Amino acid sequence: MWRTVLRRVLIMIPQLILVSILIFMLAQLMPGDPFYGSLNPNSDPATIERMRHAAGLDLPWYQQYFKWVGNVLHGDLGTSYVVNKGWTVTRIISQRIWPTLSMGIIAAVLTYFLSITQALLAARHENKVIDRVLIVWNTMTSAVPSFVFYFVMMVLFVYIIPIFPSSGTGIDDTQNFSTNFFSNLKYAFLPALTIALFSTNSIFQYLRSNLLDQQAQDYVRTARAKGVQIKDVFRKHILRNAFLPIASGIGYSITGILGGAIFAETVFGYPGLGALFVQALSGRDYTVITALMLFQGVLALLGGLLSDIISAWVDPRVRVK
Amino acid sequence: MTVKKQRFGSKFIKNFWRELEKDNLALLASVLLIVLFLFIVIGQIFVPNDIGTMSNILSANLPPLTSGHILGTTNSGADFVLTLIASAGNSLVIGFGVAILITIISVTFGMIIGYFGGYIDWIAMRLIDFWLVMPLLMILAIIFSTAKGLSIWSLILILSVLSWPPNVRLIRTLTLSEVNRDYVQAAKISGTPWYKIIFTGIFPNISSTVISDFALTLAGSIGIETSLTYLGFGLKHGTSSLGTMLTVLSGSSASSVYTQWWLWVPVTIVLIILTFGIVVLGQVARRAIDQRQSVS
Repeated sequence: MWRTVLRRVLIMIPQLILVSILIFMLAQLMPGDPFYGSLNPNSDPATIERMRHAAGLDLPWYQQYFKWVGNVLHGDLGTSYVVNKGWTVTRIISQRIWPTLSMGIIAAVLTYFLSITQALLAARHENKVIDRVLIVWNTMTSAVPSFVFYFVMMVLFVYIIPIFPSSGTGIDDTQNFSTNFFSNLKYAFLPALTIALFSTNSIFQYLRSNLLDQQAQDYVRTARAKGVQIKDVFRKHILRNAFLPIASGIGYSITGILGGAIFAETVFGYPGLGALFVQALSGRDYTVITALMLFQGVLALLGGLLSDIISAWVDPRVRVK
Repeated sequence: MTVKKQRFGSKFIKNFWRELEKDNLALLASVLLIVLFLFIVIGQIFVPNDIGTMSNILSANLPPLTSGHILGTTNSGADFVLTLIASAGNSLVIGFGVAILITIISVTFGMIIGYFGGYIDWIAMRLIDFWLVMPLLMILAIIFSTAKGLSIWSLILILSVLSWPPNVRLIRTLTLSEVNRDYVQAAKISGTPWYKIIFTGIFPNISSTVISDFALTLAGSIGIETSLTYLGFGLKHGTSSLGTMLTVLSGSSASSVYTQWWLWVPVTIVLIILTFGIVVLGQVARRAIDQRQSVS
C-alpha cells in the first residue's frame, strides 16, 4: 500500500513541472506585463524600465521561469494591480477561498447524496417509469450547459419564493467564526444545491450501470439460492461492490470545485474564487489569473492523487507491485 | 457463402425510423429540433447583416410585444427574434465546426495509436491523461481573453485543438478491443496495408460509437461556447451567439433575471432544444447502427 502511494506521489513531480510550464506559457501569452494596470500616459519610461528590471521582466524567458518558480516556492505569488490594488495575491486568495470552499463542500456532499439516491432508485426499478424519468433528467442536465438552469433556480428561490438572499457571501471579517459560519450557510446553500442538482449525471450513470452489472453476477444468484433476502443481498454485497469505483471519484470532485464555482458564483453573485477569476480576466489582472491557474492545477493533481490512493485503499487489486 | 451487399443508407434510415417510433421522447425531440433547425436556417434570410453592430438607442431594451417586436429588442435596439436566429445560427456553426474537426482528429489519431500501440501510444496516453485533469474551461477563457475577441473560425480552431483528448481516448479504447479480433489478424496475415485495415475493417465496427460521440461533442461544444461567451470571453464584438445574448444578465444587473425574464427564457429554451435534442438523436442513431450490425 505505502509503496503504491509513494510511487503515485513520485509521478506527481513531472506532472507538477508540466503544470508550471503550461501556466508560465499561458502567462507569457497574455499581452502587456503585470504593470499594465498601474501605468498611465504620464508614466516616465525610465520608471517603467526600472520597474520592469526590478521584476526581472527583461531577463530571457528561461530565467524568468526559474525566478517565477522560485518565488512561488517561497510563497510569493505577486501583487494584484487591478482587482484589489496593492494587495498581495496570497491575501486576496486567502480572503476569497472560504466562500468557495464552503459552497464547494456543500455542493460535493449534495451531489453525492442526490446522485446516489437517484441511481439506487433507478437500479431498483429498472425500465420502469421512474428509471426512465431519471435517465432523461440526467441526460438533459448533462447535455445543456448548466448555467442556464442556474437562472431558473435563481428566479424560483430568490425572487418568486424568496427564501434565499440574492447576492453576497454573508461573511463579515469583523465577526467571529461561528457567526460567519451560519450566516454564510444561508448564502452558500442555494448555489451549492443548484450545482448539485444539475451535475448528478456522471455518478448517476456510472453507479446505475454498476448496480445493474452487479445484480446479474453469479454471487447474487448464489446468495439468493441459499435464501438470503434480496434486501440483504443488495445492502451487503451489491452496494459494496458497486460503490468501489464511486469512492475513487471523491478526489476528482475536489478538482471540480473551482471550475464549477465560476458559473454558479457569477450567476448568484457570490464573490468567491470563481467570481475572482472572471473579475481578474476581465480586468486583465495577470498575477491573480496566474495564481488561480496554479492553484487549480495543483488542486487537480492532488485530486488525482487522492482518487488513486482511495481506489488503492478500497480495492487491493489496484495496488501496483 | 454469398453475402448480399447492403447499401448503408437505406437500411440505416429504416432502422433509425423504427427506433424513433419506439421512443416517444426522441420523436418529440427530433420534431422540435427539425422545426427549430428550419426556423434558424430560413430565418437567416431575414437577418440584416449589421445586426451585431447596429445601435439604435431609441428602440433599445423594449419589452415583448411592443411596436412590432414579438420578443422586444436587445440592448442595442435590434429585434430580439432576429438576433436569436442569427445567434443560434452562429452557435450551430461553431458546434458543427468543432464537432467535425474533433471527430476527424479523434478517429484518425485514436485509431492509429490504438492500432500500433507501443511508445507512441504510451506517450500520447500520458499526455492525454494529463490534459484531462487540467481545467479546460479556465485555459480556454484565458486564451480567449488574451485574443480580445475572435472570429467564428478561429474560435472553432482553438476549441478543437484544445478539446480533443477525451474523444481520442475513447476511440483508442474501442480500437484496442478490435485489434486482437480474428478478422484483423486475418487481414494482417493476408498482407492488407494498415490504413486499409483501419478504415475499412475497424472503422465500421466502431462507427456507432463515433456517431453518438459526434452528437455528444456537438452538444458539448455548443455548451462550452455558450458558457464562455456568457462570461464575456470569446467572440468579437458584432458576432453574437446564444452565450453573448445572456451576457447582459451577469454582473451588477442580476435582478434583471427576474424583472426582464424575456431576455433569457427564449434563449434558454432554444439552447435546451438544441443540445438535448442533439444528444437524444445521437443515442437513437447509435441504437439504429447497433441494430444493423446485430441483424446482419
